[in-house]
Amino acid sequence: MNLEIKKTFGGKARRAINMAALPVVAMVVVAVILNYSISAFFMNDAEEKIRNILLSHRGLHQYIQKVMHPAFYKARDERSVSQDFYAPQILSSSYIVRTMHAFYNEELEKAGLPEIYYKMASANPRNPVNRADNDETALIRMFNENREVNEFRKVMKIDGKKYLYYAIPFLETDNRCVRCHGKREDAPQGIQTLYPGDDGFNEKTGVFRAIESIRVPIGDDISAAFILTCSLSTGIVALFLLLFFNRRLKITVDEKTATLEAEVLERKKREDDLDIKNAELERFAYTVSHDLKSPIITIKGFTGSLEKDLLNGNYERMAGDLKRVSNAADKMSDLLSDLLEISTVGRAVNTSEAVNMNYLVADVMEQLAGPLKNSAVKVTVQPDLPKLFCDRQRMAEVVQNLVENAINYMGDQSHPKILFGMREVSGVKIFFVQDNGIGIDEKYHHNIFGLFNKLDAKSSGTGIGLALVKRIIELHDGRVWVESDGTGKGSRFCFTVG
Amino acid sequence: MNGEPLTVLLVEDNPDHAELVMRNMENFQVANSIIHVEDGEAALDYLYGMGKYADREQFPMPHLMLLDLRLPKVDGLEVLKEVKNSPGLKALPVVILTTSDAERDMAIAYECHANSYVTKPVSFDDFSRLLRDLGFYWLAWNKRPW
Repeated sequence: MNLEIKKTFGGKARRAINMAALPVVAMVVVAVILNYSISAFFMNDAEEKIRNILLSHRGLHQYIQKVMHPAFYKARDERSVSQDFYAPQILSSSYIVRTMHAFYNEELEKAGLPEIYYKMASANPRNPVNRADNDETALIRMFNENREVNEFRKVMKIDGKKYLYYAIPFLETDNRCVRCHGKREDAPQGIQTLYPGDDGFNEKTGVFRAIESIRVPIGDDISAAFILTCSLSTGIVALFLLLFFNRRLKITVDEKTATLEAEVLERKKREDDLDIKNAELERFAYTVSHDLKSPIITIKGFTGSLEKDLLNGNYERMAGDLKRVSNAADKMSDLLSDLLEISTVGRAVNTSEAVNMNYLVADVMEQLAGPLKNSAVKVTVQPDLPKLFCDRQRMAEVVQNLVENAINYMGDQSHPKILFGMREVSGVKIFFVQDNGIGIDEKYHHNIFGLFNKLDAKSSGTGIGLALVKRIIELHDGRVWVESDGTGKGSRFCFTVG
Repeated sequence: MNGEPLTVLLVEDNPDHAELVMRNMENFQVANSIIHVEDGEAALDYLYGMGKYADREQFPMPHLMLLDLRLPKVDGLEVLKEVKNSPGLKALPVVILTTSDAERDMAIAYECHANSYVTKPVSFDDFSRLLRDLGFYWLAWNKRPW
């Protein structure tokens, strides 16, 4: 038992987790993709910037070596300048670019922008500021060994701050370079004087003797990327959750609305039923008061008349009037017992059972043998009628009333006939009592089932029979109606049981 | 007007009540003839001169109709509506004479332009007086347009 509860709970919890996992996974995927693309965007931007600076520096190197140097050497060859003259400020492209970069940084600072670190690094520098550290030496070797690689980039951390480091190989050493960087004794006298020792000499053509590198802080950009990622993912997740819960909410609201609508319909139906019942009750009370009052007027009227006649010694019509008084009292007595009968139909309902209709009809005909014989009615009952699930006693009353009704309204038919049968229309079994009597005009087909309603004032009975039939059939959730082609054409009273 | 035979059409399904009405009316001798029909359909047939009532000599137009409400076939209220909607019949005074003292019946009857609405008194003396008064009022005192 406990295990079962746990299982149910487990299933519910699993479903809840599954439901929660979906947005979480979606959020993580979205965040990763966003962060990657935003970071890449900022990184590309930073890279592009420093690459531009390095290329501009390289342009300056080229200018010095390809434009300035030939002009200078031409002046020297023409003896305008001493054969041994050397000044790094004029002739060293490394010196010139480095100094130019220092000025550039000053300008950046003035403009309120961060400095950009620049270094030309060589394993064999003339100036110690250009000496390569271990990493840089390794990079120089890498560029020399892998000629297809022409740039190197790396995100590095210095004192906890993030930097983008970017390096490219310096210009390949050629014949012009070895003029000053070859053997010491081949170099201009000014260089030999300025730089004692071997540093910066003995370089060979065809190799990269240095790298140029730049590094810029990227912390700001990265955190901006992070913040942007976070806010965008939060927004997307919020949207996702909103959509998700909106859908859940809509489902809940729809369910509640459907329930309420069903309830309203149910209540409406009950109210309608109640309205019908109330109208029925009102009609009943009205009918009762009207029909019971009627014989009282007769009795009082004729006793008053009798009294006068007695005083006047007028005896001729006394017997007739007494008969009227007596009949009115009988009528009232009949009405009272009929009312008692119809009011018990609603309350005393016997249990329903599968009733053999042939037996039931035969029973009723037996009971009505007297009146049937007196009216010389020929009765036919359809054989093999289906069984009907109903209250046997009440159903017998229905059949009896319908047959009595048929006998009473035979008119002057010389060959009166009554047929009890059944026809099936789209699966519904319709039982009927058919006669060849006076028939009923279509305009009266509805109100003949009203309590104490009679089409012929002189006919026998109180007019309760069809009202009773209707009441019993309605208690069986069925329907009763009359079919007749009109006066003189006979009637067919039909009923179904729900 | 003087010397003109006055006819009353009584529409009443209960033969005892009809007998009481006719007996009392005859006592006072206001009307020259009282024609009694038992249901609404017969009443309309009579008024329109149809079927067996086609002969106007024998069945003249009435000067007053006493109409019961609860009738077989065509209901009293239906007869009233038909009369009051018919250009040729609407001037005919229609007095509802009924057992019913239901408010609803009375309201509908007046809505349908009944000229008067009276309930049958239980007391025989009242019944006699009512019919005497009705007869005198509608047939003698009341001015008719034809």
